Amino acid sequence: MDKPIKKVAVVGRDADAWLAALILRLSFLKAENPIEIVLIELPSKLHPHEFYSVLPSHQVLHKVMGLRESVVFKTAGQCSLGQRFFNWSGESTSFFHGYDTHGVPVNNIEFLHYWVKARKHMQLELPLEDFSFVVEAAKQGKFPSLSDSAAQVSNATYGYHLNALPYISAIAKEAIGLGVVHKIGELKSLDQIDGNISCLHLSDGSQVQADLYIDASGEDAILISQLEAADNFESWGQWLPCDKKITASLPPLSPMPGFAQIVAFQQGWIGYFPLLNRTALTAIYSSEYATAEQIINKVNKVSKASLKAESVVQSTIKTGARKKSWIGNCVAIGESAASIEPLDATQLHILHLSMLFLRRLFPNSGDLKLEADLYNEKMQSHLTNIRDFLVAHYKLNQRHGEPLWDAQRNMQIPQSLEEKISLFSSRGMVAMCEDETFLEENWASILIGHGIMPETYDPLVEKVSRPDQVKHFQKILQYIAAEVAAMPSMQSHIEINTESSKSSIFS
Amino acid sequence: MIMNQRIKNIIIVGGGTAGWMTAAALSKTIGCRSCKITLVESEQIGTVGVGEATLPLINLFNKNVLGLDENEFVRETNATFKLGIEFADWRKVGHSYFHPFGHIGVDMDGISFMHYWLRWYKAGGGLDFSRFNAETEAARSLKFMRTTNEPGPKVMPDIYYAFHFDASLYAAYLRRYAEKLGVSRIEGMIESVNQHPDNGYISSLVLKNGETIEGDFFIDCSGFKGILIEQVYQAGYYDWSHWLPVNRAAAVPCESAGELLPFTRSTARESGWQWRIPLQHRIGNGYVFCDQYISEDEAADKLLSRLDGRALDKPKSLRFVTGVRKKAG
Repeated sequence: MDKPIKKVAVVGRDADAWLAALILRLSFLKAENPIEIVLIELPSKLHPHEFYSVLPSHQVLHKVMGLRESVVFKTAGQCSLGQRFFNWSGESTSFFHGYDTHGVPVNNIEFLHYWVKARKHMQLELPLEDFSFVVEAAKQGKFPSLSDSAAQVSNATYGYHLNALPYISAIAKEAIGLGVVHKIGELKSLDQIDGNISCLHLSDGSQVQADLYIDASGEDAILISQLEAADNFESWGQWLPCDKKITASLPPLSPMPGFAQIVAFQQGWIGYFPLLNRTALTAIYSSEYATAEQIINKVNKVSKASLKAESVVQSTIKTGARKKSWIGNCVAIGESAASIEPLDATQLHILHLSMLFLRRLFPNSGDLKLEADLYNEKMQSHLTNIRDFLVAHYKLNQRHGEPLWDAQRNMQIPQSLEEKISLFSSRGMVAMCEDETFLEENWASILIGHGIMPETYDPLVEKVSRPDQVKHFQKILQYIAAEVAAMPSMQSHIEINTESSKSSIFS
Repeated sequence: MIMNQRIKNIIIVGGGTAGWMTAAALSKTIGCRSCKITLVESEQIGTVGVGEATLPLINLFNKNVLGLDENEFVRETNATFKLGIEFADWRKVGHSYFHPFGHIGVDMDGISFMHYWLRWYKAGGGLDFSRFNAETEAARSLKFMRTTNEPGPKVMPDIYYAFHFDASLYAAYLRRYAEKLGVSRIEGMIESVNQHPDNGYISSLVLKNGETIEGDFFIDCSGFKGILIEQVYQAGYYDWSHWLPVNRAAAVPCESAGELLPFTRSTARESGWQWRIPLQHRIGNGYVFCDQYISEDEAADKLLSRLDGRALDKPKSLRFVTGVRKKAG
């Protein structure tokens, strides 16, 4: 290939396919070298029960797509300030992973170290999460907008719970309106020349040729699976054992929480994700330990619901990632690059990473190998760090006497995670790798949340006298309380941002 | 050091810029109230006395870590301002390019300025990449100023700069700073090192005059020879000379000449390269070379014949192997 890319074919369905097509289309809109974006849409697998729980990084994706936040609320989505984990350290335990930092550093030393000292030696009983603006906002049903001064010390932010079907319909409408060429079809076969795709044959007998092919077909990975080596897909099943998913809807909660609840149970976990018109529910479990019927019964008991097998969506999760997701002239994005359970709201984040690096490395001419190598390296590095974050939840569980949880607590974990946990256990320091999705504060939230109390803390903490530290802590708590009191309620934020916006979801 | 006991006694081995920067930083951050900090050095061992050109990160160290007053620092160390490095004769004789500190152009729409420039340049745009950088333009006209923080919209990019300074004056300046904060200095040569029999940790140093200095944490600032890290612990060394073959330098100061240049100049030479570092009171010069291609005497002669001003001393000779220790601790 020695000529610039003139045409890109996206083959896939649902979120991955439509978001990719729209982002690519927008990237080259009004460019001097217009690039044709063809979307070959495979039959949708989206069910009205489906939802996406997404990280704060999704706000960046909206900015890239020129989307207003109203698109979320108009499709009955909701803000998510974090996730509250229940029962991971045994029944009636809980902690909050809010999307924010904790406290205020003193003398350039992280607040966490002062908190560790206070818990160990100063009779403090408050959990770390009590020193977070966003957690306090979440508990009080507020929208986390910060004053200028608080924004200097807090990273308070939020992701979303998206109502999959209407959200993706809105995206699809815009993509088509902006000139994405849309073809509905199914792939029959593809031709290859020297490891590159040369032509797609669709089941209606038509053919599609492009310079670059995007595999957005989800776990099926129908394009890249025909180009890759047999061992290209790396399973993460030994660390993340849940292979089944049940999705359903429950009535909306009142008052409606602006965060998700993640409840561990004997064979997996149940997540509750508030949306404006319902509560999306998902149960993630291992088929080795339970049947779908048992899980539905469990869900009904825990949620006081009466779901039946026909009122839920059942699917499988093939947890793992491709070592190479860019091969030849084919790039697998989103779920066809990596598939991971929705425990930490990373579903659409993988697509986000794919698009970020594809945009940054979009080929111009010549051999694609340099771009592909760098792309694969970056994706793998990011995905490994995300994997570790999820594995930490399973490794650190304290649910004793239950086979799944006992096995995961005793498993051997990747060395990168082993090192992170031992350094944190020893001195409250997060060893950040390159290409981390989750920041130090996120790691600290879950490591502390799962019950790791560092043995020691930064010795420079001793430069602050104990009475001064107590005063500092009191000031922080007062500061957070005053700041949160001044925040608008989540409800009013949603109302204002739904009503005042024009009919277009684009800014 | 015994586990579960806080470090109470830090020993720094070696003075010079490395030793006194360490002493100054530790006395400022840890302080000498709950922890004793001692620096051992000998006037008999000279400092290398080069390393007079710095990168903008020095500002973080001077201002954010030590809280130095920049004007005082400039005065005390005969420092000058540095906007970047001119690489002369590297591509070919007669050609030069400038490596500036600071940003080149302005990124747009998430795309690096480089790509806009490349398109423009390939379409016939005549200006070199570096012309889109404030530091380069200022260096070209021998100008300098600091970023002004005036209210209102920005009319100029921030200015990134570092310094050229007299390394021995900088060490002396930081010595005064550290001693004022409570660092003690011991004059002496290290004769031997005692290690803890159980864990091999260093427990004390014995000086030539018989004095024993105990400590529970030791920092090796003895330079290339690595009195502790190499001579005691055999850290090992990754040799980079197959990539960076230079292994000698001849260094000599000369009188200031011409206008003061706000940048370092690195000129490619037949067997290496020559530095030119302007200070307030003199210019530092050096010829860095590989002894496989030129003798030390010949290199010193070449250096003396290529100075802008009268030499103020005889060329000093330095030997090194480029690389990094396998372990830093």
